[in-house]
Amino acid sequence: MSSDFVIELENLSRRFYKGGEVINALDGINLQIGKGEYVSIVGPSGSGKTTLFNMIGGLDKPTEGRVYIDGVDISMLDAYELAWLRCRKIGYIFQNFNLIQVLTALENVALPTVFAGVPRDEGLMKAKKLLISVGLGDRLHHKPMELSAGQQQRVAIARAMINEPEIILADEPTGNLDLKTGIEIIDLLHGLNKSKEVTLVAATHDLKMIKASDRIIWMRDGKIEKIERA
Amino acid sequence: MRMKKDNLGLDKVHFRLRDALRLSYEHLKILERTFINIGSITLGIMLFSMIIFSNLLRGDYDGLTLNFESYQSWLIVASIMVSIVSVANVMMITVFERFNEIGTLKCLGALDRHILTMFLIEAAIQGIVGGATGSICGLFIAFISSAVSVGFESVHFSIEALLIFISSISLSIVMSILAALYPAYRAAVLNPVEALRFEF
Repeated sequence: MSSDFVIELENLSRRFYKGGEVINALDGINLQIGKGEYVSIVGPSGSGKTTLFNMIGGLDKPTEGRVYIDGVDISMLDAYELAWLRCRKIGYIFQNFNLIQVLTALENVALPTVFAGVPRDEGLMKAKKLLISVGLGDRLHHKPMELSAGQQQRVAIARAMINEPEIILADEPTGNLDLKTGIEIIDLLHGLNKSKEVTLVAATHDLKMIKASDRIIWMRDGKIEKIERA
Repeated sequence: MRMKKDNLGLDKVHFRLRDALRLSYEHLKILERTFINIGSITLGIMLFSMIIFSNLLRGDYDGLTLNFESYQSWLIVASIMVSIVSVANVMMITVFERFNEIGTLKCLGALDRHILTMFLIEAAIQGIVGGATGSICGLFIAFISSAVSVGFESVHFSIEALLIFISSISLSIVMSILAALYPAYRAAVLNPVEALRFEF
């Protein structure tokens, strides 16, 4: 039996306690995301987008409620299994790229294959193919500092894709990019979403990104305000 | 009904020693911090080996018994303590600087112990290099000072010099790992969410 949804959130809440005050970062979220869907999560800062991301990515634990990935409640997983989930099932893309500065573009992209136990040569070969496919075939041995912001985000996208994850979580992927580069990155992500059937969940303020998505989740104060189909 | 865990096809995450070594080596190539660490270790080990080598070269070395004057023992202990504190300090700064990287590695599948291994390998490599340079410098200074004080013809080398060299490097590795333990532990148990939010 397999679930139709890749991601299911059930009555998900996350509370933080700060200076004796309770902050409801997420407040009873119910959401189902299907395979191959492209979902944009939109909301003002502090609306709970990043917390939601951390929950789906298994980086943070909910105060209440459950997160199911492929029908499996991830709160049941131990540290080893969660690490495996992050390594193989989920690809992360960040606003500030988070590339490892001391490694070349090729090594950065190949890094997740190290944790996946893929032989080094095979990992590097795969990384090279991916970098060529995102248009960075001539930048394989450059360090992140020697790349433009757009190129760095392409490297990050290739890194997120290398273990063929089912889910890509992108937190403001165009937030640090200029207009033209932003559009290129959106096209690249959209293309991957369609061609590889990877489920793409993106937190964004970027209208162009929102337009490209299948569904838009509007968040406010830790709650889903409305859901729109594009 | 919900799925069992097996539905995910769970498997192990890996971090081969070779890959840990490679990643550590890339970080050690950032020379500023590496030099400060190796320098601190070199100085500590230099004093340690210099005193023992001096005793050996002047013929005061008596097999396994080290004929230290008590002030010499204090000097050695103090210098090693200073080295440990200095290396721990630099390692702690290194960990803070690499918060973001640690968070990212955890997102990519690294376990706490992988992060710990990476930092300890860096410390061990610095220990080996610092130990080697320190004991070579120590031997050199001991040779010069012995030659000046007891005369060149009275200085005699023996096979024990090799033993001192090996023990200096071993001490250096232990010292370096000891200094890195707490910073490496802090890095390893870092919550990825906190780590990624941190801006240095």
